[in-house]
Amino acid sequence: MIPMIESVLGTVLSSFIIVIISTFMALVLDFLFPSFSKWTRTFLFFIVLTVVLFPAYEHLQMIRSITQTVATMFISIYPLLTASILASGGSFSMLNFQPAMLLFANGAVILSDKILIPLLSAAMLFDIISRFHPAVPFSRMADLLRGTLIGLVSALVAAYSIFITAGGTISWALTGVTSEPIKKLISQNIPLVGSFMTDSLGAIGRYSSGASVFIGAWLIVTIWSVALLPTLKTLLTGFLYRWTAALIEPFADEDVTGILDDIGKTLFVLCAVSFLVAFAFIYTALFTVILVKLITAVK
Amino acid sequence: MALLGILMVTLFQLVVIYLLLLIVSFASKSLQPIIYAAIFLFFLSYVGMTIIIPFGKTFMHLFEPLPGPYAKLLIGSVFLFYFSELISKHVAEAGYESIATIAHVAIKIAILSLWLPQLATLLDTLSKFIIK
Repeated sequence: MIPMIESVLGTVLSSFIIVIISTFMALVLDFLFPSFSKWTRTFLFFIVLTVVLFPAYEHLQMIRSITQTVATMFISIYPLLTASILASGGSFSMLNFQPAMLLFANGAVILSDKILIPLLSAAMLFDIISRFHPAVPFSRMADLLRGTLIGLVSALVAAYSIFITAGGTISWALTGVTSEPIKKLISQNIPLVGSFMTDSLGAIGRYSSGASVFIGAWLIVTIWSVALLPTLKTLLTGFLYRWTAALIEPFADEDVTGILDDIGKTLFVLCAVSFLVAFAFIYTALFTVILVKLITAVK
Repeated sequence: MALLGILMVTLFQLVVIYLLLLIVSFASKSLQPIIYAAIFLFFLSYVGMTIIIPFGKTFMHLFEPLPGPYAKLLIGSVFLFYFSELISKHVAEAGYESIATIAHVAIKIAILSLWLPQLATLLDTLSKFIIK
């Protein structure tokens, strides 16, 4: 956990410090040479875009490659899994592991690979256009895209939780009375995706609770951390974008702070999408592990 | 202390130059443009050597932590633009506005071509969003 935070801070924070320093520089240049101020703004925009777009782009690329890996893994593993479920007969009936659910989870991965992540990059480009050339604003378009994505993803997660609770497995600690204040805290304090996060964490928790009977809790924790690490990284980066925007707001151009804010929002939505992928990954991984355990136990 | 001395000297020179130009305009109207031009260039080079260029160097040094050529490029292009604007304004004052415009446009194009590699990197990053 600590090395992850350190690496995020190392790569992302340095680029934000660059943004802050270059904003100071542009401020001094504006004072000295007011006749050049329009171009100072443009060049500052260049610097900020070049430096700041790169971490966002890297995150987009990271989530996309993870998505593709999960999708490929699923496509190769799915026939095998369904065949072995058919072979193992009724031993699955006591758990709520339906093959249809597996198909659904991984269909969501393919959906996010083909539609959600391209839409997110489109939203980011729309934001850049509307900040760089305010006469042709696409900000509503970008907001609409982000809103649609959030709606789509939360609908999918709601569908997951319905599927899972329909099986009647016992709820895990995350939905218990003790964790309710924590969930409230998260959902109120993380903008845009906070309530979504608690919902999806609850869904994953409910699912894992059924599985923890079969496989040890440590394995569940491992799978959780592997699957959720990219999501947490993205969330942290999105927060850093918004913090920088807040930090430089008093002395920077409104466009620069605005673009940082917009990229932060887009990264929050990306975080939501990666939750979907993480969920599918957790589901597939636990499914496989349980299957292997059942088969070895029968023999 | 040294900087204060330079500033005082510069101010004093400004006053002297002003008085000199007044005297020249009184003594010989026909010689005034060439003396004005000579004094302008002399004063510009003096101020540039003692104040503007040292300040630019300190300024660049201050923003050294910025990556790559950004600080140097931005500060250098601003100073280039400033000098070109000064000289072309002077030429325009003498009545040769078209020449001043040509020189200024040339400097602007030079500044933009200094920035072209950076612009290419940015366009590359942006186009990666679309293509893949």
